[in-house]
Amino acid sequence: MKGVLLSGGTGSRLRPITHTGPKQLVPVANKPVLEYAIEDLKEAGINEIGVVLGNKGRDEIQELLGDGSKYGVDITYIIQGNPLGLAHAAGCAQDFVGDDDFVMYLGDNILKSGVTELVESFEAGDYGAGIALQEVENPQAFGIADVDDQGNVAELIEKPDEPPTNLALIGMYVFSSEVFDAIDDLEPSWRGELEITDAIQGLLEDGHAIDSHVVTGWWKDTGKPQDILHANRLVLEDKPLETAGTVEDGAEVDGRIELHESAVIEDGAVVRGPVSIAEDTVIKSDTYIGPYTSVGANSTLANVHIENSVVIGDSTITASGRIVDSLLGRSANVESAETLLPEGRRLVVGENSQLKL
Amino acid sequence: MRIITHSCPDCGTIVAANELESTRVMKCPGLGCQGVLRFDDLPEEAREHFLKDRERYEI
Repeated sequence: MKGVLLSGGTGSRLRPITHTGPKQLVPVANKPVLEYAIEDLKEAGINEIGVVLGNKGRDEIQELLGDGSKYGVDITYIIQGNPLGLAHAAGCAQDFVGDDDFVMYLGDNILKSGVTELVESFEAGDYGAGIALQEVENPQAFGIADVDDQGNVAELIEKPDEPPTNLALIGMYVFSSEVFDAIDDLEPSWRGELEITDAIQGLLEDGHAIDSHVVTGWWKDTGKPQDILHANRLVLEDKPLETAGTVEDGAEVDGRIELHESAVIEDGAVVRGPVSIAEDTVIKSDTYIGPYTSVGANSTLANVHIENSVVIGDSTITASGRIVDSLLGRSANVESAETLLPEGRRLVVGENSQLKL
Repeated sequence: MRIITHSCPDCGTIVAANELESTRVMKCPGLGCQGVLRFDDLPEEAREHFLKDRERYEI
């Protein structure tokens, strides 16, 4: 079994954060989203991973993942270029996959339960593909699978008016190499892409059984800023958090705190977990860090009250206001204007930024 | 739809034909690799197939 990790896309819904980097490297609980996928694949026993790259962030992703040795896996890079669809991305991986089965994992997704059960379910039978499903409340908005009592997929229906089930495809797949024949037979869809659901439908029509696995834990597509905040909450809820850094006398710390060994919470600061604070970051006196906040490396926070937020890193935040439900990009600084005249906020705001003042 | 790729002989990075064709000659996108990849590195039959159906490999 091999892994194919899709890491293309423009990240347009995450602008301005993605103006300077790929969406798969946005951190959740101070770890790039893509690393969760690598760990899930490795946990499922997959050590050979093809990372499919688009037009954006190729170098950054290669710089982070390298040859995979730091994760204990072997990585091959596959350049898809233009986003011609998930089936095109899979097809680009054919030389890498060869005759093996493979998991296809969307690199901007996070799953609580990983992909091990999906792989085990696929390997327990003779299937052309296996798909991960999750129950949703609004099946009309998703690609829906009709499955029988044994979990075999009978049909895939895109955004049905009358959904036969509430089981939505969540973008995690296992394929046999038979899928490449199905991709060969595909024509671009109305939106000009090779659709992976069409390839799966082709496998069905060719007589292949399609397995399904219903994911019971949370699953998150991190495509939008609010999704990053939500994923950050979910991961901080579940993740073991270790306080290795310095908590000075007089600092008030409650709940679970991940504090890097080089990070400091100074006397007079208040931190209430779950919170993650990365290396070389200092939380100064009179600062409040509230639950579900991650503060990236090389940052300084002073006087501010911040909660349910993600600070990616290299930031200085010294404004004396409250910051909630916010995503701050790398090297974003938020400082006080209290002593400046004329009174007023001073903003240098990039394209696609969103502020609520 | 047939998907055509080419592997860099130096680092093993796999590149889709649509990417190769868009630049014809390119530095291998594998980080740190000094290899040079050309659309002409593809077999003649693959090149002809791609060029015949070029619009299908574009958005």
